[in-house]
Amino acid sequence: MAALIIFCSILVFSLIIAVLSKKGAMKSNMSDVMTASGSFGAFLVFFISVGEIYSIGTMIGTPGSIYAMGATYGIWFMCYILLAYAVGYFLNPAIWRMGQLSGATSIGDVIGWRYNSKGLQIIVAVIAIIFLTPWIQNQFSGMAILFQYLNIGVNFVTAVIISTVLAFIYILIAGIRAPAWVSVFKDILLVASITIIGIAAAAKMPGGIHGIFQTVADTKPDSLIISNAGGQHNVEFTMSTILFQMLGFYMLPISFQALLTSKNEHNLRRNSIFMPLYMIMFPFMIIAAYFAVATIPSLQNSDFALLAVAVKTLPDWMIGVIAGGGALTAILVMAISALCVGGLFSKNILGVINPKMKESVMTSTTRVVTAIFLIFGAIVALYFPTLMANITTLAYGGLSQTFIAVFLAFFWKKANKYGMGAGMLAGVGSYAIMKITLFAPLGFNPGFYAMAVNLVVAVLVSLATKTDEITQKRFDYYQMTKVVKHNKLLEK
Amino acid sequence: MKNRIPAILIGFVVPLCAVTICFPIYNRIEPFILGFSFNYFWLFSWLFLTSLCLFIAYKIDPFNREDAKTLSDKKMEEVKKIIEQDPEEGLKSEVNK
Repeated sequence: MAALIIFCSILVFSLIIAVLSKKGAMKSNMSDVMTASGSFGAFLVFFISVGEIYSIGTMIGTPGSIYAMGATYGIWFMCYILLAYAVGYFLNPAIWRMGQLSGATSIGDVIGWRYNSKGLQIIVAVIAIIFLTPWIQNQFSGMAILFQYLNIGVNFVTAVIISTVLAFIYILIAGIRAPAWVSVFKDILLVASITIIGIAAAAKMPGGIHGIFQTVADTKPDSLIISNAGGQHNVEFTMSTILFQMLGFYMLPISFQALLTSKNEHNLRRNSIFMPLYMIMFPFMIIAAYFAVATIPSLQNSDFALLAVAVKTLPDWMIGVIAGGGALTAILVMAISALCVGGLFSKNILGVINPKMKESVMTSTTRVVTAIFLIFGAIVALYFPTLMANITTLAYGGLSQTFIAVFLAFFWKKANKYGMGAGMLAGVGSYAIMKITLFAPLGFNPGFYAMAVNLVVAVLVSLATKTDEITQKRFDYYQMTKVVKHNKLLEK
Repeated sequence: MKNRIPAILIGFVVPLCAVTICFPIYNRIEPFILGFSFNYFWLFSWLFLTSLCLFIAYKIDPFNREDAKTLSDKKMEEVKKIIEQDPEEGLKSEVNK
């Protein structure tokens, strides 16, 4: 009962935050709904960036996969996010500047503007939407696990309905502002919950942290390190996956969105310094995961691992905090992702097909599409829970391929729409073929090869075709905003 | 310092080497440090060390000197104005909006 009360209070409190966040919003135009007109200071940009990376999938899936398959997923995830922050320090301000010049609210806008191509804009938007659909559905699946196991008096169907409604209310009230403010609350809850579970696990185990890892090392050493032998999850595969995913990370439409909300580029650089520190919850999560490996031998579903540790070590009211934190995490990621889909669909697809579309119509379309997507996600989650699990990896592979187009946009004047389009299609195509045929020479991740194919095709086709003047001019505009050339600071 | 290469080395290459290139070296259980198996201890340390690297990079990066910040904000505004006045861009941005 205490758990249920705390759970409900958390959701109500989040709603109050959402209502309060409307303050300061002036107009309800596209750029305000999607990126708060680029008005966020360092604090909010930080929270909205980290808030959407660590979804309920992180909380449930990471310990779950350590429990089921050993270290692979956990180590890979930590490494690639960590390095993505290092990449982000250099890449984010550049993306932000390009976004400012093009008045962008999404990844599609930036690429469409720089290469002066509506076709490219639509391709990118479609790839992004294909990725976001299973991403939203994943949030619901995570909630299913949460409510099945914790059993706090709310069944899964009710939880799905409540969260769909809440996610939509956030967006309706204040566009991206509401999720941004709610994510501050959510992140505090998420980090606190995981830290407490980790500490409780270490306290419960004889010998503390060392006891946990020693037990695992003695009984199941394979689950602590990554195998040197051949196969799907060996060292080469992990390393190549890290390399290719750290580049794809900022191509996630939601990460892109988050950095466009920033007021200036300096904050983005400074935030990068603090991003890795936020990962402090990972040691605790991993302690809890290995506690489950060491002491809870036969879970019926490996995804229950973290929750099983919580139930085993914590009092009832704390379970309410964890349920609330988990649900809020899912709702928030859903809200931002659905908003992102709404924006991509109405601006980058409908808006391109029908250029006369009024902005007010576009804003309302965004809201409608956001709602449709949430409902669609909820229905899929309720009736076809396993349908789209595999699409996520496939879509991430495809999405990462936009990295080449974004990267070349900053450095190469000759890069053009034909090259980027061909490269992207070659990358996505070769990735899909390699995935299906399980072709992975040297044990590397196929995404790694696909990106190389993408780069080669993009460069060759760009060289072979004519680059139109507008594309070149936009490259020059971007170059004019730079204050460092050839690694030297320009004096005035 | 006006050169950006040191910032790139410290902010990106060092963490990349520590976390990915050295992967085969730190992928081991022994010795246990602070209770963690070696691979996890190494990674958890790099959460803090990456942050430190980025901090150093931030400090030595010429972009973050006050004069560079002012200059880049100013340039940004200038270029935005040029784009607004550009007839081709003007048309385009109306379509976009």
